[in-house]
Amino acid sequence: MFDFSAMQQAIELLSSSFSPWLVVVPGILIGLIFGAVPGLQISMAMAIFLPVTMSMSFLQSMLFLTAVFTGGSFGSGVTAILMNIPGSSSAIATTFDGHPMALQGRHNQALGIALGASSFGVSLGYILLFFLIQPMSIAVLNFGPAEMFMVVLWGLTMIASLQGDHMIKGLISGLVGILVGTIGFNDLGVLRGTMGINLLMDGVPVVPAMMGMFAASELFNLLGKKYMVESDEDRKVDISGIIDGFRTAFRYPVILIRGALIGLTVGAVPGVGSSVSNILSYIETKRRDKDPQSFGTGNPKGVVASEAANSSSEAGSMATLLALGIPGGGATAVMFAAFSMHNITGGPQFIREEIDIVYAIIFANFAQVFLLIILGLAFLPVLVSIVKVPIKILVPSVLCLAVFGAFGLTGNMAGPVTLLVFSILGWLLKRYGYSIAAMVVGILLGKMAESELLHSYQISGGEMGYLLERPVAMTILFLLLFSLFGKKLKGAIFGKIRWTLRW
Amino acid sequence: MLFLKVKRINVGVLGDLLVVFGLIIFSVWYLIDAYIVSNTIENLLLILPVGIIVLVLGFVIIWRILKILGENQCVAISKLKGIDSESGNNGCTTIYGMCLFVCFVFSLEFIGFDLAGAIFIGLYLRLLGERRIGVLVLYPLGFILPTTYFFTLMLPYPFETFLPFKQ
Repeated sequence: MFDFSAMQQAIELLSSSFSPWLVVVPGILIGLIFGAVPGLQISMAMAIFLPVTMSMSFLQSMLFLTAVFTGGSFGSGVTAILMNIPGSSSAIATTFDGHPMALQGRHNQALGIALGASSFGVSLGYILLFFLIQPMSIAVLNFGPAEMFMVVLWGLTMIASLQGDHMIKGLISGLVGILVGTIGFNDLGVLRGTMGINLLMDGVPVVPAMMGMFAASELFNLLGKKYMVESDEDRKVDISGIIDGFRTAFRYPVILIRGALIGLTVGAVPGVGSSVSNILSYIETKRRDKDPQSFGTGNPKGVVASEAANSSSEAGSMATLLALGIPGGGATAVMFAAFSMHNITGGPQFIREEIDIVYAIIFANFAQVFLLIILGLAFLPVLVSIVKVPIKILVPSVLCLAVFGAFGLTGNMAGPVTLLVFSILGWLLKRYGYSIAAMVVGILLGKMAESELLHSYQISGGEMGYLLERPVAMTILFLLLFSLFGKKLKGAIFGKIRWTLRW
Repeated sequence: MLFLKVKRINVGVLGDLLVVFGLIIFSVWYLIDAYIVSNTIENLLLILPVGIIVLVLGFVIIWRILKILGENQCVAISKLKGIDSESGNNGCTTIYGMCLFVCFVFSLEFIGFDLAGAIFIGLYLRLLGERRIGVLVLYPLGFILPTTYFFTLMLPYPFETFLPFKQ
């Protein structure tokens, strides 16, 4: 199973020279900055700095790009917690409990938890990748449209659990989100719902819409306050609070492990990745918790679940890239380009012939986790200072930054206009009790759901029996149903047994 | 007094009703638009069932609002769950803030991101009660110039600016 001589070579590659490590610290810092600035994506950072890797060796370029990836995964959670703006779609679920924690003056703890969960997620993800890279690459090949649709369907069940105060309003906002998500060309080349606006041909830009809905609804509601956190005492930037939060993450080992496993598995599925894994992990944690009502009001477990999953997705997407040569998302697509620049093709042959490089990348990522913790602890106090900024300064500055970032995402006015439209919509929906989070999940998964459903329909010729022939899809469906009704089923069975025993 | 109460309740309920109607109208329009473009099963596979559920749920919400209103108008506002009464901010400030935001977004292409951003931040500060001229002028410039410079450096496509930043 393991090639020990390759492992030895990998360690030699990493320890014989200091030069591969020189790029790791700048890589993590670039990732942190791009992740933490709303609108700047991790994939964008990697693409911008890709030409720099031309002058590097293949191993060095991989270390640099994975460092950007690692830093960015954590960075996107920072804005999600402090400003309610997820730096990327992988941090959506972090906003649900992270931002309420910040509003309660527990920002130090929330960021510490995010750092702890992210570090654990990356570590466990790469440990599992080390053991499972070959079997995982085979398993991923069994994922067709039906299986992908089941995974997306699982994500869509999140809508029901994000209902907020009013179930019907939660459901309707999630379903309208799905409709909005399908605007533009579908996979058949049919154009719908664009109102003749050419900028909508590719669909509604998801991240600007998400930024508008989350940020504006929150920012406009903050206008009556002087500071984001009202109490002077709670506004303190406290490194001990961050460290305490870091430790708190490890008080929930089950949530951490479950999140990391979900992240690794879903992250390995091309096209799904971390944007779905954080949501799935959050749903499962909420569903299994004794007090599901406390989620969404600042429950640390919500932050742990989301951050552990989105961080371990990195290892999952690396598995498909290394073992199959398939980039699972934007960030791994850039890495794929780096492969080409060094005349290397990922896939089974690469794993067989260059296993020492694969091991070196995995080992280097363990070290990156420690660097992430050090850099995270050094920079978080600076980032946390945002709670000390008066609202009258914070609101226009963040709105301005969000507009610039939205333009950066699309490269045209579609981004800022989408942000504006969804800001107003988000404010209205929040004011009248509709779930913004459910709508965002709907927008995010709508296109994906339609695409996978359509492919399954085309392959099966409309026969539902096709699903029964797909064991992986059936397993996911079973897991989905079990996660939805397992608790009730268990309660009913045990209740009946107890009732029978009493008689 | 009763007239005033009823009037206040109706404004809240009107907003709620308008949002539901907005969602229903969007869904109906989208369904019709999708149907006109192509009425194949493939095109409507997801949209049609989702759209129909939205319509049903929308009418359930409307029915509930009307039912609660019919029971007792004075308690209607508290029963209509979720109407955000906690934010506590001045509604006018929010509306003016949104208007400023709309003007800001639509002026970007014409006067550049830097100038539009500086004017937007300055006016927003004024709206939120800032009176010191130094802050009203210096903060927007101090924030927007490095931000614009950073974005012009980082973005791989043209970024309209008033000042000639080197891209």
